[in-house]
Amino acid sequence: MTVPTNRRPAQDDLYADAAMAYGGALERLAQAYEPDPDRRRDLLQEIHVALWKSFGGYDGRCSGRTWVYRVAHNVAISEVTRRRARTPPLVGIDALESVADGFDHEEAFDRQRARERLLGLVRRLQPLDRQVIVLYLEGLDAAAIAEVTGFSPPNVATKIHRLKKLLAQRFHERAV
Amino acid sequence: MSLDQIRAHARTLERRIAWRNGREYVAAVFVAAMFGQAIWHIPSTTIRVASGLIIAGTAFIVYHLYTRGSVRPLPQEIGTTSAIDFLRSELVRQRDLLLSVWRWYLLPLVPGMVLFLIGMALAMPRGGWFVFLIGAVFVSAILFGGHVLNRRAAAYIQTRIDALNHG
Repeated sequence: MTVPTNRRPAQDDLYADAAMAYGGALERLAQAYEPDPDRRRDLLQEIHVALWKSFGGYDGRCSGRTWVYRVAHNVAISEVTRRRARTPPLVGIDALESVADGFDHEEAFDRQRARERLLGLVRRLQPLDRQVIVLYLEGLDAAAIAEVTGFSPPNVATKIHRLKKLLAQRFHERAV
Repeated sequence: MSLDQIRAHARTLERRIAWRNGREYVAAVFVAAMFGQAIWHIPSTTIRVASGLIIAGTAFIVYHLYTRGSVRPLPQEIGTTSAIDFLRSELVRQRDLLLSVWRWYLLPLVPGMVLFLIGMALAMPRGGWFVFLIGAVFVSAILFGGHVLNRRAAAYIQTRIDALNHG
C-alpha cells in the first residue's frame, strides 16, 4: 500500500486496499481477543470502522501494514480494558509458564483442538503479550512487531522465544 | 464489509456512544424534575433550599460529564500510537477518572443531601433525628464505600501502568 506523491489517496481507497490485504488477519486477531462469536463479530466490525475512519488521517508516515495492525490491536486493547472486570484474570508469560492448562489428556489430538488450545492460551495473555504472539503468527518479524507494539526488537524477540518454548512444551506434554 | 456497511456501522457506533453519554443527562433531568417539584410543592424552606442545592450539584456533575465525556469515541491518534503508549493512555485515563470521581460526581450532591435529611428531620414531629441518623449513615456508607472501591481499582490500574513503564 503506497502513498502517491502528488495526492493523498482517498480514505475509501485505502480502506478497501487494507480490507482486501488484511481481512483474514483481522479476523484471526478478533479470534485471539474474543472467544464469544457474537462479541467477536462486534469487535471485528469496530475494528473495520476504526480502520476506515483512521485512514482519513493516514499520511504515509508508517507502512500500511503497521498502521492496520496498530489500529486493530488498539481497538482490541480498548475492548479488553473496558471488559476487564468481567473476564478471567489475564496473565503475563511468566505466570502462564507455571500454570497447568487443565486440558483433558484423554481426548483425541487433532488440528482443530490444537488451534483451539492455542487460541485459549493466547487469550489468557495480557494484551501486549497477546499482540506479540498474534503478530508473530501472522508472519511479522521482530522489527515489524516492535513498530506496532512499541516494544524494542530485542524485547519482542525474547517474548517470542519464550512463548514458542511454552507452546512447544505444552503440546509435547500432550503428545507423550 | 462493504463501504456502505462500514459507514452505516460507524453511524450506529456514534449513536451508541451518544446514547450512553445521553443516559447520564436523562438521569440528571429526572433528578432536576423531581427536586424541582419539591421546591414547588413542599412548604419547608430547608427542604426547598436542599432541593435547589441538589439540582445545582446535578448541574455541576452534568457539566463535568460533558467536558470529560463518560464514554468517548476512539482517539484520532489510534493509528500513530504504539500499543504500549495506547494502553498506557487508556489506563491513565481510567485511573484518573476513578481517583477524581469523588470530587466531581459524589461530593457535589452531599450538601444538598445533608440539608434534605435535616429538613426531613425537622418536619417530623417525632423520631425525626433518628431518621436523619439512619439516612446519614446510609448515605455515608454508600459514598465512603464507593470512594474506597474506586481507590482500590485505581491502585490496581496503577500497578499495571507501573508494569508497562518498567517494560
